Amino acid sequence: MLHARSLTLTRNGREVLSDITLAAHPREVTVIIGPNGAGKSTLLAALTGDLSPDHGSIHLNGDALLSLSPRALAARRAVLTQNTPVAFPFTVAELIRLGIEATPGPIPPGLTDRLLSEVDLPGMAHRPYHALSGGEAQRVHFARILAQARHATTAQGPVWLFLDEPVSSLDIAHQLMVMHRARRFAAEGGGVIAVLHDLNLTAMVADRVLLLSQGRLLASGTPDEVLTDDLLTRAYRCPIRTRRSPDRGAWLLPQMAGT
Amino acid sequence: MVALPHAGEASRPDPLHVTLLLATLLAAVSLLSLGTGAAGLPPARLLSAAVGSAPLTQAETLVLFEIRLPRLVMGLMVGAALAVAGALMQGLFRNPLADPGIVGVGAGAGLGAVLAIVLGGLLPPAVAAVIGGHLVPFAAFLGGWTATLILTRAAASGGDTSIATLLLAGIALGAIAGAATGILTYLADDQQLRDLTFWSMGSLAGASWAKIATALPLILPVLLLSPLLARALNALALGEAQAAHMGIAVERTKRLAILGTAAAAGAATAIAGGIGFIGIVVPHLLRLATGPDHRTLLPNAALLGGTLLIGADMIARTLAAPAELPIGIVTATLSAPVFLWILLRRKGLAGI
Repeated sequence: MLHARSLTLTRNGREVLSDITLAAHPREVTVIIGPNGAGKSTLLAALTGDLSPDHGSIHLNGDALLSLSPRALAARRAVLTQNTPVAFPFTVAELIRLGIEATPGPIPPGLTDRLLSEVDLPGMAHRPYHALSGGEAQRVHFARILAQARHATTAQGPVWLFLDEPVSSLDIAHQLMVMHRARRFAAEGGGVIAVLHDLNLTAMVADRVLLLSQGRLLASGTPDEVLTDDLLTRAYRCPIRTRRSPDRGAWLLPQMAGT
Repeated sequence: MVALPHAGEASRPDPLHVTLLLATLLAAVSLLSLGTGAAGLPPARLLSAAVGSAPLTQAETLVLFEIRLPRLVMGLMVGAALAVAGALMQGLFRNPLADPGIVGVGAGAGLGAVLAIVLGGLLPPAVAAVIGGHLVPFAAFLGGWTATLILTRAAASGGDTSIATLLLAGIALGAIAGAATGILTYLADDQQLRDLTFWSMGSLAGASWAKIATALPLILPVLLLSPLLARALNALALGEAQAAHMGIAVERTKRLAILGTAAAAGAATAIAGGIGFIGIVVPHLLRLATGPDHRTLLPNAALLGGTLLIGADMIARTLAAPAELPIGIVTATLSAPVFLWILLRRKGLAGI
């Protein structure tokens, strides 16, 4: 379980997170949505331990987040950040090795090649990272954090993936591929927390949705409960109408918003 | 499916082979260096003495053990220290062009040395008697150390060390040290000016076991222990937050890297003066050959740095024999064009 209680975080004199209480469960994909500047990335940074909140507490698998050493924390969660500049001319395989080394334990043979196939980069192990396209680079980092979180559960409980806009540079096929892989991680017993901008993709992959607006948690629940005309219109300050399909839940077309 | 080799593939040689090759190169250049000098005693003579077929005369033993061997050891030490300090600093700054010179360690050490040269005569005789010939190296080391302490203090805020602030603080320190050095140069008499010029160009000419003994306790631990930081520096290449996500104690890593750089670069500058470019060129060449993994980069940098510096020293000793060129001029002549070539080659390829 990931528990956050009454999180408040001030940056540069501005309260970017106000009294946020939330819970995320293993075996589920929890998606954080909200307009620009709502505090999504700040919330993710607080949940991963990058930023310490001014008030409130975060517990990961029952332990206070800030009481865990970096090494212990790395064994419990892997983080995909929005931008990951790489300073030196590493190859794809060397970057994935960084992920492998971040967690102790045996390394399954052929792990790197298997992970690269899973992110549709087969045979790219020895390519220089800097020669990759933006979408390829994003998938390499996804493979790197999958290498770090190569077991979805450990003796210390479920392992967590934190994904900050993991599909921002990807075409639609690779967006689905990455989110399906994240779903599989949850099905294997891990927990997934992702920040997404695409509401339709959110409706497709999320078990729970957290809707942020102006640093506050406006709503949380299943996609059907949160992706409603009223809540989305209030959060995004723009008239939004959603539709329901019987088998897939909520969906919306951008051209139906704002008019 | 058959994996076809791609045009863009980075083929990396076996790191162990490269290390062995560099060690062999170092041994060969060392022997050559021991057998080069004004007093004769060529490498072949040394080899025959080593196998016991023709023992060295007393004069030859003196040349070997009191002149050439300390010079060789000091060259290896200084070259290795400068290269490893450069690699550490570049890993810390996530920038292949960073160098101890940039963050003000060199400037601080330089100011210390200049202070000692110009104002050393004002020391109370009792103190001067104790410090004796070590005054300049000792002051240079102290200056480098002080610069590092000011630097880390200026750049640390709330437990964080900001790389940008560190760089700017380094620029400010460099300016202060430069101004102070300028004033002292103005005050210096003719003999002191000559000493200053030679110190600032760098030289191994004053090599002695005593100098080695003053620097070794600082340099050796850095050479031996820096590979322990390799995994952390590799992860740091992806950013501080990302390194922390991968289980790295980021602040501790940065503190240790700064300390290691100050110790190695300060001590090297203290005994050999300002020798530039080794710290940038050696890690760069190694990254091109074997990739950026610090596990191989740091030990290989020590080997190649040492080899390069004693090679440069050999050139400095023989080119204008029996006079000697300052080694800083030789390393700059050899390395600066390489540095420029790397810069032009990398342009547009990856963020510098």
